[in-house]
Amino acid sequence: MAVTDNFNRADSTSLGANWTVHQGGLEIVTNEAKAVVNGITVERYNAASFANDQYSQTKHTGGTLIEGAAVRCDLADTGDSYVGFGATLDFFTIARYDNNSKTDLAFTAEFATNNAILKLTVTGTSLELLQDGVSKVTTTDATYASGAAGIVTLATGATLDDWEGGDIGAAAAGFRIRRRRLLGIGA
Amino acid sequence: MTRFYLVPKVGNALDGFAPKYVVALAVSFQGMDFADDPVFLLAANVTDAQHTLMAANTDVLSIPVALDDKLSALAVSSVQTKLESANLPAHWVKVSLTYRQILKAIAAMILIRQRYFGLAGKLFEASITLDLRLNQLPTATRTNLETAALSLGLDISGLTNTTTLRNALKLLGDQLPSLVMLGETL
Repeated sequence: MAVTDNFNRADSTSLGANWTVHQGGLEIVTNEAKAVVNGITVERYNAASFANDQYSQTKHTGGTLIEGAAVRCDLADTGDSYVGFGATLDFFTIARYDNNSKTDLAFTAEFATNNAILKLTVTGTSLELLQDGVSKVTTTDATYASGAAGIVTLATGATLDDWEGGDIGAAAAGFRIRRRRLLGIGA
Repeated sequence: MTRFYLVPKVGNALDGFAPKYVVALAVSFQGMDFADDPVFLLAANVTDAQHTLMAANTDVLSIPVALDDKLSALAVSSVQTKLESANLPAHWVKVSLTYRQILKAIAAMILIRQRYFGLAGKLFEASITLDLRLNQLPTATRTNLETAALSLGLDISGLTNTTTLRNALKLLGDQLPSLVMLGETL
């Protein structure tokens, strides 16, 4: 299961009904998600349910402005989540939000590239932040076990585009089913 | 070079929290915080000069780079004091163990405390200490501890009424597999 949002719609002061704000709030501006007023924002996608092992990815279009992906955003919207972010002049970072308060868990002394895809995955207690499929930061944390995929910004003016969230392992399971059918098993 | 430390967790709710000292060094790091106690187990990729700066701080416990060396008696005392002050059991720390074994056990117990915190909030309320038996804990606390352990896939059949909280955390932590911090397998 994967869900997407390319934010291609009329300008609006919110991202729309499929998004729930943990803190801050993004707007639709010129077919992108933009932090116009509130720089620090976490929003979760609410129009799908996600397995505990999940991913979130988005195109980083904000240049020097820090932004990225969120996973396991709590469904009660108390402000708990894991986030992975970067910018062209800021290090790749994985952090945890507890009641909307951030704790940095890991970072790599390397900058992000503009227009790159930043992807945060969580599997069990392992978190990994990738840029264009290349691993940049990993860490381990057990605080949160479930929730929804989402997005994060830490600077006013930050912009995101082409978001996708989904479950980890779904594609592999599909492959196994197809292979079993090819082998005549379980048909 | 990856070095390990126990460092304070600093910051505030508005600006955020982070392991002390390492952010200013602008080096790659990976940290695990002790849930509701303000301490981080930290792995940092530092130069010798940066390590000297880190280790010079009196509130930092620096782990030797040779992780497969065994602890000295002095080191046992230092590690025990640091862990117990952060409500992490340390009665099991002894000279026959290597630093890698110590770090693995610490990381595992941190994961349990983190999961507890995520499920139920603060574990060590004012009246709760490591030496309480499980049947002396508030019912909700014991239930939450068991729920946290089960959610991590752990076996709780070894926990009895007379198991102390310190032994429970160690017993549960011992079941968790190795993990990697900044390239070092613990």
